[in-house]
Amino acid sequence: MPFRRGALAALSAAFLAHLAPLAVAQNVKVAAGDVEDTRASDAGWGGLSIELKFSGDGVADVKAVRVKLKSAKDDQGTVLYKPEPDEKAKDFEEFSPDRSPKPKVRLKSPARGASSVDVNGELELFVPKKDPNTKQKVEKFQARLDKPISNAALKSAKVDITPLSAAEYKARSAKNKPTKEEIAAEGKKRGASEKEIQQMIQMMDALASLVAGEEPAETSVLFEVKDPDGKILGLEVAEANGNEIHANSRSSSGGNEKKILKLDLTQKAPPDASLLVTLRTSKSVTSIPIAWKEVPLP
Amino acid sequence: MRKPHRLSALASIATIATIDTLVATPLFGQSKPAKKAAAPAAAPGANFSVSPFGIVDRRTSSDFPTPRLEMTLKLEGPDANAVQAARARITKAEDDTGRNLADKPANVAGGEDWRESREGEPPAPAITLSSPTRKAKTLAVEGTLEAYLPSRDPGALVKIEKIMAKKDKPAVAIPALAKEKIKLQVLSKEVGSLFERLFMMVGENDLILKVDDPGKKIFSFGLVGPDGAAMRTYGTTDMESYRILRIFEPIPEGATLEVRLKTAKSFAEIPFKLTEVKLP
Repeated sequence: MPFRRGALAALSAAFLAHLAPLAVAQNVKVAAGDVEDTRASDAGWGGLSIELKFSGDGVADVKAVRVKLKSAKDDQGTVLYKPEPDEKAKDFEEFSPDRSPKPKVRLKSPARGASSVDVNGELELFVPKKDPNTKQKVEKFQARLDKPISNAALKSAKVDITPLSAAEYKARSAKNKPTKEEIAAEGKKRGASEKEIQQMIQMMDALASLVAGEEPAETSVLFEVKDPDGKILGLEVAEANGNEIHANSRSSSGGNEKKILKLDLTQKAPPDASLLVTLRTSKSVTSIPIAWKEVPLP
Repeated sequence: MRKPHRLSALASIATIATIDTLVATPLFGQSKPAKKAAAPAAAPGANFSVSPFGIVDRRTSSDFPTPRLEMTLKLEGPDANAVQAARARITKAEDDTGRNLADKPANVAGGEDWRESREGEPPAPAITLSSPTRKAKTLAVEGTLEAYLPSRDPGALVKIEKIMAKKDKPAVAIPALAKEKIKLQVLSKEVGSLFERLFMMVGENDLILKVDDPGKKIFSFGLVGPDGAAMRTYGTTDMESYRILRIFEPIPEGATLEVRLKTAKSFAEIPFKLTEVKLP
């Protein structure tokens, strides 16, 4: 019956459309991939990393991931993950199925005599398809340089983006540079020797002079970004017709609290160019469990 | 006595390892010559010991990166600070389960590259071995350490004073270099577009040398400031007959270039044996 078949098709389509976000999340599986155990006599470095091996139809829709560990131990009982009291959630890392290197779970080194490890936690998947609000477009962003962009979605995500003039970029970059005292304090906190701290200061000076020599070009677009929760997962520039202007390189200094960012585009951004911001929203993130047993150690 | 390095958390290893050869053994005329005959026969009498300094055991479930163990060696003793460069040849290496760790070709298993001294510290040559089994607790290594000690032979060190004044001039006329048929010119970055490819790689403070060394007698170069202190470098880049000395700071007018030559007296070979080296 054509009518009945048509109605059924329409119903099925509606049903599938309703289920689509769920299907995207459910069609991703993650298993333990290649394992690397770097064992060093200097206890300060080395560790175990386990690559995430993805499968399922929904993988292509995943644009960023974040591992949240709960526990990990080897078969001799060595605890390989212990959350720090003031540990902040890690940032999401960009993802695509063919991207290399692949995301990894990073743990402490297991005992030399151990032969396998168990890992528990969850993997958060950022699937922008699930929420149209992940894409925010700021038109003519260059019209108001050195003033924060006013946008409700950015505000609710506690994100503050200020497009900068070249002069303000240089001034804020200089201000953003850590002082010798800050480097020394950080070094002491990490147990570095006086010699190592002096080397660190010299290195920072050398890096700062390199950055200082890197004047913004005509094709550069400059920003100060405050994103304490790491909600920004993409920042692109597009022409008024929507065509994205590719960035050849991106350089930044600072952290999520405050970052000075320079995008070097392939062409000068026209005055009516838009800024495309990809934001992580609660609807766009889904979780799948990690429950690996007896992952063999190399 | 050198100040213990923070990274040498190998105190335990150093105490456990038995170093059979604490003092250099004269090998000249006793042992077979170095297989890679870059260095002339060794001179006797170098007095330093070899011990483990750091170990990294990279264990992987896939073929890439290749599983391997890297060990850095520490030179200590009266002559250690005179060693300008060193490298190790491994003859035997195995873990305490009996697995052979020197089963790769010599260029993989040994430390073919010379390691230079840095900032007044003796060089720290490295060796690369196959990965031991997970059950192993210790390893043992035997080999020979080749050392370059130019200060032991006045003929091994040629000094060219006020090197910056020789920029873009004809080849430096020094009898000690002429004797070895070595021609050496100092070039400036501004010489022209002819060397565009080369000069794109050159940093603002780097020293560019054009070197003709038909007998391959030059071991390495160094720069000394007017105060006599060695200038910090971050390596040398070779491209055809050009050598670029990478320098952190501008070279002062009064700087001296040291040309270190390979001579029989400037090399020494030290056999070493490390046992019960604790694995991380």
